[in-house]
Amino acid sequence: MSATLPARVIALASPITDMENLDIRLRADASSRQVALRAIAFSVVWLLVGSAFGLIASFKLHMPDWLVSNPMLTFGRIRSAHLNAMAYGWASSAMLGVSVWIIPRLVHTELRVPKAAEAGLYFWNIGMVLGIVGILAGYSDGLEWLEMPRYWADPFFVIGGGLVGLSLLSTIAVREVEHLYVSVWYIMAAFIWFPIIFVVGNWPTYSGVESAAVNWFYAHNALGLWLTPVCLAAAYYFIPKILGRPIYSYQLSLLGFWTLGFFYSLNGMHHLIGGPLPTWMITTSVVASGLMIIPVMAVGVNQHMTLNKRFGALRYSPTLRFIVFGSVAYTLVSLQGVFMAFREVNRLTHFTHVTVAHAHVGLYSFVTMIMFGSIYYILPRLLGREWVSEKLISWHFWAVGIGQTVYLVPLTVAGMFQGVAMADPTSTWETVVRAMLPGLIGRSIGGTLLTIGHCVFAWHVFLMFRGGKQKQGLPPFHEVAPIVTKRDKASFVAGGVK
Amino acid sequence: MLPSSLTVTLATTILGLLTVAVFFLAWRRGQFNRINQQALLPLDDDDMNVARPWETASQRAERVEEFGPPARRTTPGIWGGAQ
Repeated sequence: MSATLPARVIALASPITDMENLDIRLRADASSRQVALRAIAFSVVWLLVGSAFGLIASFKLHMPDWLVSNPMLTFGRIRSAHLNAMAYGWASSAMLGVSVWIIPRLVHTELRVPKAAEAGLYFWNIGMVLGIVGILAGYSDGLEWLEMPRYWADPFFVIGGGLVGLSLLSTIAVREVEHLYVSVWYIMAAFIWFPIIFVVGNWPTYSGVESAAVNWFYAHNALGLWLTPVCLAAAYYFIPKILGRPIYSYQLSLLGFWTLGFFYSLNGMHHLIGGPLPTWMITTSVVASGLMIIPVMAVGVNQHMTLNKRFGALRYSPTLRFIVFGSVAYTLVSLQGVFMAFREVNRLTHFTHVTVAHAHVGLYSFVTMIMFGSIYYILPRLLGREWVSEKLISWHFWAVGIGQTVYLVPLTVAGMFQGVAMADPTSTWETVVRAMLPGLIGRSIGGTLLTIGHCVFAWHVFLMFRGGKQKQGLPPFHEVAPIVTKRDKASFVAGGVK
Repeated sequence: MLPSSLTVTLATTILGLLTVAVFFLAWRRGQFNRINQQALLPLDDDDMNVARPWETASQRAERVEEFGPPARRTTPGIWGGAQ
């Protein structure tokens, strides 16, 4: 029995032994296995589809005559299809899988009504297919982040998300632990917040200025109250799990969660600075955006201090490498978002590629990287076998890591020049567009690298599902230890000190 | 002024009040008690008393002091089979 047991017994409902602990974990994993595996499989398909759309859209920005004969391949449709495929197809499907896998483990019970969660996953992905086909066919709703047809596709997301949420919330309701770990709070809140903002955003009665206000209420909250909480939940689960030590300050983690809940929903109106909205709405949003420094720094400081003096772990664990990358990106993108919400900065960056780059730091560098890391941890434990190739993991990481840099840096710089040029009344529109070309070409090169990384990842996931050749002994299914890719791992004897 | 802001005002108020209500409910139910122990919830015993290859000698000693001696048998593959 470890020395920590007394402390843990206090936190848990009843004393448990090592074997019971193992049994709980195995039962939890077994109960969520089917749903989580399918969610991961769906998400990887959408990752490839969304990447292809994104790449085409990116090339069109500096090759405007390319693929223009078919209306389905015009920029307006392809770009919307890209955003929706990545946000709802890839990221959200992966998040459903990660949530379904993490919650039973954290509440020490089996997933309840797994059939509902599975049905929810299918509903969600049927909605995705209908939505993407609808967008490509020209039936977009015409509102950013809400392009998928309101009546054909959106009900599937409400039902799908609701069914997965029902399964998760009923699992939490019958939990075997008294306290809710911060990751549970985040996931539980996300599955309550999302249906509210999604229904409000898609309500069919708005018009004019109100439509724009509701649109940005939804679009901003989709990132902050849906994608962000689940990804932070994953980070708060995997970082301590891999390091084998609790997070630096649990108080800070709770502060981060609750202040996100208090302040975030007010943020969206800063997208409409300069628009025909009441000034108090915009100002309230700017102030709330400033207050986001509290949850952001709480998360950033906490995760940094947890990892402090253990950065060597990044060389060993691909999960940690991706998740720490994502966590750092969360801090950066959030601080960038705070500054971009201020009127003086917003005047320069609004309607420029800075906003596009900022959105990609959020949805890619933060959300996508954390989902990659989560899948690297979860899949071997669900399939009962180790990742097939250390090299493929490494290629994936460096392709997407370098790809993001090549994508984001030129685009941000170009966007700043764009903002300055557009504010100059002597600049012609053509001058501004031509000045953007290097940034747009850099974006396409970066996007190509990202897509290569995605293909490597998808191939590796395929090998895992197919049961690729294993070179190791026992699978890590029962184990909690991180997956190590460092070549000299043989020199380490688990459980002992070499 | 009101027609353009009514929905967003109501929606943010509902979300905010919901969060405040759940916060106080959680407080009353004791969710903020025993904070330091809660931090251990995701960790199993075998998370804590298995030394990590990246840890320094002092960090390993610290782990033994905090969580007890390494109790795990060596299981091939747990530290990675990806070759």
